Parts: sequence; C-alpha cells; structure tokens
Amino acid sequence: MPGTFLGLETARRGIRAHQHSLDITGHNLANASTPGYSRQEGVLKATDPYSNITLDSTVTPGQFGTGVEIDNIRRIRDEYLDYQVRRSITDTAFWGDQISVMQRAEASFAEPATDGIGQRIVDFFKTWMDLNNSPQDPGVKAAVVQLGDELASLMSYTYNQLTDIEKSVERPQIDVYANRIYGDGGPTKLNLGGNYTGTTNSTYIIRVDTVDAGGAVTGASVSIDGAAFVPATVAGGIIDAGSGITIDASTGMNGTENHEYQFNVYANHTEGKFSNQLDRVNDILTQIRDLTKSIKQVYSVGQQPNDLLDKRDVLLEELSRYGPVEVTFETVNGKPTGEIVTLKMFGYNVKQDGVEIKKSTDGGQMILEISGGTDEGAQINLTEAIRNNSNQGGSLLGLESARLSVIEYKAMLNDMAITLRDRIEARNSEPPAADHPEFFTGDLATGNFKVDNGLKSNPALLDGTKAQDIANLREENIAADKPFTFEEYYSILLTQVGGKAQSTGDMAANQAAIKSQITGLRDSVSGVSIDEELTKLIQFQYGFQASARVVSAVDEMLDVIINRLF
Amino acid sequence: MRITNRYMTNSIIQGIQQNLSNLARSQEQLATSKKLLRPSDEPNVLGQFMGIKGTLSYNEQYNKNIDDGLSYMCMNDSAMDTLGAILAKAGEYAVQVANGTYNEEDRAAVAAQIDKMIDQVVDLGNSTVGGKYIYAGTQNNRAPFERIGDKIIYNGNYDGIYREVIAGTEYRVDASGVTTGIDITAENVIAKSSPVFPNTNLRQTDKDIVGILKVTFDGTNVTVDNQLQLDGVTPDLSLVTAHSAGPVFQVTAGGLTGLQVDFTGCTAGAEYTIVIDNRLGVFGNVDITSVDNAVYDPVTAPAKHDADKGIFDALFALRDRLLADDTDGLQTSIGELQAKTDQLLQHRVEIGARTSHFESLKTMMLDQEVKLTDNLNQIEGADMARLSIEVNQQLLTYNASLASSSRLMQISLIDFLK
Repeated sequence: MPGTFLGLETARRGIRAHQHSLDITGHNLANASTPGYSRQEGVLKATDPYSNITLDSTVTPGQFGTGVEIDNIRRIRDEYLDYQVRRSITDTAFWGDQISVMQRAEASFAEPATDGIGQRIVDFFKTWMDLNNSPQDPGVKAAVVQLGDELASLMSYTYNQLTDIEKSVERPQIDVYANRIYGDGGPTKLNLGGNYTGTTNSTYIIRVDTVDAGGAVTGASVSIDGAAFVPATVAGGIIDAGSGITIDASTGMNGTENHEYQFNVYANHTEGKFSNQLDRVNDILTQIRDLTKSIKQVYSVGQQPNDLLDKRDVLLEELSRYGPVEVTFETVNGKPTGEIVTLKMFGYNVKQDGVEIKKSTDGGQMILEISGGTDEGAQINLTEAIRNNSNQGGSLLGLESARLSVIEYKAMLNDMAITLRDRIEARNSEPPAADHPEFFTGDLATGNFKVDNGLKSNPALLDGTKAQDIANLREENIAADKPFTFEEYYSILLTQVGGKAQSTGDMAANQAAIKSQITGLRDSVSGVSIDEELTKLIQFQYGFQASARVVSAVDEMLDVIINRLF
Repeated sequence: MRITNRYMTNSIIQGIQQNLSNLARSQEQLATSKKLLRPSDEPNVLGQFMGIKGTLSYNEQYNKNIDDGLSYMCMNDSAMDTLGAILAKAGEYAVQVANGTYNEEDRAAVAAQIDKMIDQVVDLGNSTVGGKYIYAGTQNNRAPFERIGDKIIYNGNYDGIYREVIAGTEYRVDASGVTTGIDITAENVIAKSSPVFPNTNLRQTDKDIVGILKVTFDGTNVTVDNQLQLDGVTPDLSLVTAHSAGPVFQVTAGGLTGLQVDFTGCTAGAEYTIVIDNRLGVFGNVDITSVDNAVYDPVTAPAKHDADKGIFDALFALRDRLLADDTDGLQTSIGELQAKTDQLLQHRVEIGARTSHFESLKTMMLDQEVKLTDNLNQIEGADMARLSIEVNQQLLTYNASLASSSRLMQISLIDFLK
C-alpha cells in the first residue's frame, strides 16, 4: 500500500512535465522563423512504478503508477536529409555564383538590341567602301578614322569591363616593380637594377624570369635589408614585409650570356569574391571546431545540446556552399557524443585545429592548398578541374569557371583586335605600297588599342587607294585556322557568351528547384508548424490543469482525513 | 507530407518571385516588341540574326555604291555624248572644207576652230562628278589632262574606278580615259606582298599584237609559264619565243619583240599576269616610254603606231592638214574621225549596258531588303497577340497566388483560441 501523499507527488510530476512541455512548445513557437532551427519535443515517459511487496502479495509485485517525467528533449532531424541538403547546396552554389558573373559579362556586350561592336564592325567596313567611292576626300577619310576610333574604343571599353568583372572575382597579384636586363658577357653577375622599397605589413612575391627560352638563372638571390634571399625562378619566393623592406637586386644574380632576364616584384595581395569566400571558409572551419568543443561538453554532462547542434548544422550548410563537404559524427553505443569523426572539404581533411585552406596561384591557375593537418600541402587545382570538366560543385569552383570564361572572352576579343590591326596593315603594305601610318596600333591586353595618333590628328594621311581591299576584309576568312569573317568571329564570341549565360541560368534554376524541394522536405520534418504547436499547447495546458485538479482533489481528500475524521 | 509554416512562407515567396519574373519578362518583350533582347535569349539563332542585320546594313551601303556608280556612269555618258558631237562637228568641217570652193584662208580659219575643239576635248577629259575627275583613274583629285602647246599630258593613273555593288563583286563604273596597253596584275600572295611592283618601260614593236603572258620571277630570272590569246584560254606560243635573262624581262623574239618589263626588287616566287591589249581609252593611249605620260606629242608622234591613235591624234592631224592645206589628207582625216566616233560608241555602249545592270541590281536590292527585314522580324520580333494573351494569363496567376496566399496567411489556429 503506497503512502498517503503518493497522489500529490504523482500530480506534481504531471504538473511539472506538462509545464516543461509547454516551455518546449513556447521555445518552438519562438523559433518558428529561425533559420536552421529544428523543432524539439519533450519525450514524456512514465516514471518507474512503485511496487508494494507484502507478505500476502503474489509473486509478481503489483505496480503502482507514479506519474510522468520528461526523459529527454528530442531534436527532430533526419541526418540523411541533412546530407542531401548539403549536397544540393554545393551543386546550387556552383551555378548560382556563376550566373551572376556570366550575366554581368553578357551585359557588357550590349547586344543584340543596341548598336554594339557587331554593328560598329559593319559600319567601319562601310566607311571604307565610302572611302573607295571618294578615295581622296578628306571628309570621308576623317569619317573612316572616326569610326575606327569608335570601334577601337568600344572594343577597349568592353574589354575593360570584362577585366573589371574578372577582377571582381579575383584580382591577381599586382606587379609593383619590373626591370629587364640583357645578360651579356658570359655567366656573370646580373645587376637587375634598382631597389624596391615595400610597404609595411605586405607580402611580396619576388621572381627572376628569363624572358626568352633557355638561359636559366643560377645562384640568383636578392638582398633584402642586407640579408640574402633566394627567389625561386618560376614559383616565386614570398617574403613578408613586417616592418617594411628594401629589395636590392644588385647582388648575387648569375645569368647566362645573351639571354634576357626580368626581375619582378609582385604585391602578394589578392582581393575579390574568391578571396572573400575563402576567408569565410576558414572562418567557418574555426567556428565549427569551437562549437564542437562546446557540444561535446554538453553531451558529457548528459544533456542535449540541441540549439548548438542546429548552429553547427547551419555552419556546415554554409560551408558546403563553397565546396563539397564530407562530415561524419561519432556515436558511442548508439548515442551521439557530439564529436566529428571526419570533416573533409574537396576530399581533404580539415578537421584538426589550425587547418586552413589557402590560395596559391601559379601561372594564372587558381590552386587551393591545405595548410596544416594530415593533408598538409595537398593541392586542389580548380583551373584544371574546370578544364577537365570535373564538377565537384561549390561556389569557389563556380567562380573559377566564370573567371575562365571571362578570360576566354577577353582573349577572343583581343585576338579579334590584333587580327583586325594586322590584316589592315597587311593590306596597306601590299604593293604598290605608299608611305602610310599603321591604322590600328596596340592591343586590348595592354590597354592601348587605338587608331594611330598621327592619323587621328591628320586623317588625310590615310591611303584611299587601298580602301576597297580593306573593305573586302569583311568577306574574307580572318586566318587559315579561323575560317570565318570578322563579323562571324564576333557572332561566335557572342553566341558563346549568350550560350554560356543561358545554360548557366538554366542549370542554376534547375539546381535551385532541386534544392528548394529538398529543403522543403527537411522543413517538413524539422520545421515548426504553428498550428501544430498551438494544438499541443492546448493539450499540455489541459494536462497541466488536470494535474492541478488532481492536487486539489487529493487536497480535499486529505482535508477530510486530517480535519474531519476527528 | 507535413506542412510547416516555414515551408509555406518559402513556397509563397518563391511563387510570387516566379510569377513576377515571368511578368517582367513578358512586359519587357511587349514594351520593345522584340523577343531577342539579350544574347542568352536564343544563342542558337544569334549568328543568323547578326548575319542578316549585317547584310541589311551592307545593302544600304551597296545602294549608296550603286547610286555613286550610276552618277559616274551618267557623267561618263554625257561627256562621251558631247565628245561625239565634237567629232561629228569636226567631221562636218572636214567634209565642208575638203570641197574645192574653200580656199587656204578658210581652211586656216577652220584649223583655228579645230584647235579650240581640242581645248574643248581636254576640258571634257577633265569632267568631274562631285569634285572627282572621272577620267583620272583613282588619282581623281586633280585634273588628269593638260595641254602644253601641242602636247597633251596625262596626270592621272590607270586604275579603273570600281564599285562593290553586291557582296564580293566589283564592277567598273568608268570608261577608261586612257590606257597604257599593258596591264600587270599580281597573282599569288608572294607577288601581292612583294615590296616592289614590276615596271614596264618599253612596248612591243608591233603594237597590233595582243595577248596574255603568265610569268614567274624566281629572284634572278623570269620564266614565261603560259602564253595565251586575249580570251585567256587559247594558247598562243608565238608571242614570246625568246627573252633575255636576268630580272629585266625583254622579249627578243616572237610577236611581242621589244616588250620590256623590269622585275628588279620583286620577291622570289612572285607570279604575275601581263595583259597586252591595244584597246584604246576614250582619249587614246599613253606613251609609257615618254617621261611625262604624253597622250599626244607632236615631236614623237610619228614614232607612234596607228593603233595608239586616239581622239587627240585625229584632231591634231586634221588641224595640221588644214594648216598645211592638204586637201587629200582631209579625206584620211574624215575616215579617222569616223573610226574615232565608232570607238567612242563602243565605250558608250559598255557604259550603257552597265547602267541598266546597276538599275536592275537596285531593284533586286529593294526586293531583298523587304525579304530580309521580314526574316529579321521573324527572328527577333515578338508575337504580340500571343504575348498579350500570355500576359493576361500570367496576371491571372499572379493575382490568384497573391489572393490565396494573403488569405492563407491570415488564417491560423490562434484566431480560434480564447
């Protein structure tokens, strides 16, 4: 026979459990809009029964219910869905970050609705026909020069815009100092000339390159603030100018006879979306490691670090935006300990404290390098990955893909400018060649593609007798290995730009749809439904009230026993 | 599926975004009446689109070229018309004064008139259209013909005036004022990029011999690869049977004996075609052996062959015969003038035929423009009727999605709780 006050205790437990459940419901409602929050649930369990063993009791003890308790607070989450969400985020980010770059690249061409480069090329050749009609007319000559100038500046403008877009993705090392010297007189000390004074707290890359093939530099070293420093000839040596440096290249360089050398100092300074994202990746990695420590501590004292786990999952999701992430968690006897077993990015271990992913550029290639940990020094060559069509996903790879496309567009545009320049010059030089200035000079890459200054100030210098030959260039293939005309070349470029923007846009939309479906699925498991919580609220409220009623009933009963029996 | 509030919110936002972006796209197409607004809209037709746009733009230019060509030809025609009238007048005078009733003084007076006619012919040779001298070749910014005493000098060059009136095809729009009788063209790339162009300084002895020579310069010597008649097909091995060695190519035996072309300075491997043709320009031939490009030179005139005789030769001859009171010679002059009129007529017929050719090209161009514009429209033009219906549909969807989501968001269990 249980004690007199068992009923009170049972009811008290009921009140407590319901109150606690109400609190959990409140927590769910409060976090109904929190991103990454997964709903929680108090797991109610009947408390251990009370057995009353007496002399006349049967072999199996009778059990008396003793109420309820909250066993643990469950975080409702499906780990498999988490994995899928991370995977789809990685895939979506690859296209999503690309499309913004590709659309900007497309916009810089201003085609086909407006008068872009395509129309300018047509107009340019048309004025040459006009010049053929009036070969000596200074007015028409001025018009040819004017249109050539417009074409050149429009091409330069588009090229520069593409360069800006490329730089917004990643600004490569900046050349701060360059000096060329010709090594004659046998293997001898090269005085690569001059001093370069660096700025405080900047890193520099120092290289000595042979300009022409062969003739390696031997024993090359420069003196930095008096101390010798050996710059690698190809990869470049990196030095840190903690308190500002002076680079003196007049010592220790041995060159080979009759070869030209260039001494370069680059500011090892990068900026742009790519670097910013990489910084964020390393930041997230640190945060995940710190969070894991806290989670383990909470688990070790036997509690559920639900909200910390949510936070860690949000960080893992953000991390998977930048590149493919693999993560597995430790369980002991089927129970999670909060520890991460593996954390890999791009397939390389990044779990240990202090591991960072760094950028190491080489010859224009975008290479990531793992610094620290068991995979120290492992390299991820994003440029090669794009060229080999191996799509691992992630925005870092996406940005590299976009950057390579922009670089390709730039190369095509520049090739077009150079070919146009050379073909016109070749026509002008055909016999009977008159003394003439080159029509176009420079190229887009160096930023000085323009109509010859002399022609601009005096268009009369233009040789009108070659006008028809130059106008005919528009009908001719631009080169033996490029069997198409200038207009067609531009069309090809434009089709590439448009095609890339279209396919990237389509893929981005596809992946976004997949992602929204999967996150929808996860929301349907982990998300908070207000109506559902409100229903539970009422349920728990009534449970609370009922338990309270039991207390008052027991109270009345005890009142009878204590106050009225005597 | 368990539906949560976050799921609802996300799907509502996504739906609204999708509807709005559809509407914005349709609106953009309606506002511009074009469906091709960005290269990514339809990259596969972009090449075709740019091509047609280019062709249309070039057609504008071809039209301009045709008009320019026509103005050239009209001026040529009217100049030749006046020239014909002068020849007829001179012929009339010649017939008149050949009669025995006219005396020496009368003939001298007519000679003075013929002399003035020569001036008039020089003026006609200096006809211009739009400030360009039509008989000066491409050197058309200064008067080509100049009379110094009894010498007529040519200051222009021998290039024809060509107008490109249809893609890749050029037509000559002038009747050549004068010719040299020899025309050299570079055949291969080496010849075209050679710094020096071969130079002719002596013509063949018998100027009635015509033909085409194909030659190659190997750096030291010139070899004749082919000898053809003027039709460019029939071989004629009698043209050159022997020639000198070295860079100066001189025919020593054969029909073209005396012809000399200097290849000094040309690149090895250069191939050239030499066309020897005695067809006269409107005003005759230029003596390439003379220092100052004489069309008519009284001093060296006797050395000139009949085949070179142009209008000036005929008129000067007539004047000189009148001055010399050579009544028998006048009969020769009448024949010569008649021959010149015939030759002029030949040029006029050529120009006339070209004129009608150009006019029909113009009609064709107009026809093409209509068709190409239509093509362009089909590629880039938006189907307005369809678009309007689509916009209405999209508006309806947008409205419905807004209405349903606003209602849905208002309803919650919370309204029913006390």
